[in-house]
Amino acid sequence: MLQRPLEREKMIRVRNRQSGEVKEVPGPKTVHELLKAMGLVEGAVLVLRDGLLLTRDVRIADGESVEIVPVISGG
Amino acid sequence: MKCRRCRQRAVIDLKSHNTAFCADCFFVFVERQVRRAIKEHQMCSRRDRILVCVSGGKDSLALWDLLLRLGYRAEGLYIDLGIEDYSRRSREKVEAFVQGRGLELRVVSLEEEGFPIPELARRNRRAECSVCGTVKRHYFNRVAAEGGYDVVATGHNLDDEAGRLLGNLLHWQWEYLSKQSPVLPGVGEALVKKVEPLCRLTERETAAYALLRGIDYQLEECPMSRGATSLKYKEVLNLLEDWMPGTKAAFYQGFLKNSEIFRRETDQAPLESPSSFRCSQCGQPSLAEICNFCRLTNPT
Repeated sequence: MLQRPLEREKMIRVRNRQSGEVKEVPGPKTVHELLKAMGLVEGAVLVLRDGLLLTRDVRIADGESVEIVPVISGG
Repeated sequence: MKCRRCRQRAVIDLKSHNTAFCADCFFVFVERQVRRAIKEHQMCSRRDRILVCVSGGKDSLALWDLLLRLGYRAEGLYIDLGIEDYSRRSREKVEAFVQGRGLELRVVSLEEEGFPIPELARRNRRAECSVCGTVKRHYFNRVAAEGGYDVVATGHNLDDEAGRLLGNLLHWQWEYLSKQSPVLPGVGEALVKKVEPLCRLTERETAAYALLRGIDYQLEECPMSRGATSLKYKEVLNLLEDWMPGTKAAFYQGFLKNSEIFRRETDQAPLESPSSFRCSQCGQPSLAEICNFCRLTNPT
């Protein structure tokens, strides 16, 4: 008997605009919760959805994609 | 979250100011911070010719955009550091910014000058960032002095300055502490005044400004700066800021209010007469007979 492949759990897809790296984080989460779950500090990044900046209280649902833009630079 | 000024949907929240703004009101906030820095520290006037040092990154391009919007006469200087693909991509960002706005840009290519940064660092067995700083400072002043500019403006922001302050304090660098200021006065025609009009804005704020204004900047980090201690200081300050919003600004602004203490403690010789303090090789202001730039580029 053929086995159905396990349906992949939907998660928040997070792409780092600087490195191109993509991670998946279980949602739903606010921007604040998402950054905390990823071990990121709010002062060091900006978060965008569909090219628009998000404030820390915005809720991101499972299946949605966001972009993280690191802001710390210099040497 | 709603904008504190107009009650529209906010796009950025600023914990240290306990506020949030929509894009248009954020622009007002950013311009006010820059105007305030310029006024508080008497950085420049609208009569001045300003040379903005641009790298292709968010801070310097945002600074150039802001100075023009605020009615200042600002032209750009780009130093091509000769760091292979990274420099090529940075230059493309600067040129795209300039072309889109019809601006004046001066370019110095270190490859053409004969000492790209990686090679110069190897030759001198020095860290790339330290060599790069010396070379950039030399050209900022030289191009500004030769071009008759009144002021050199750089995109150093609050994070840069607070991080630098933390590093200087941790190692009790009294001489550096005595010189750390968002304004370094000019002396005669040889040493051009240097200013940092973004010193009241965090990196997150300048990045948000650049994104919201549609400024296409270089996101990629300089490959030479990986693991730089300055980045560690910024990380530590961001952790503190996360726990106690406003700490970064209080730390730096508090230092500026009290920086006189460090100036009194150091016995530095001011460059009163630049004509008598010139490098014997390049003619740029220098307290030593041969300046650091010439020692790096013409080792004897």
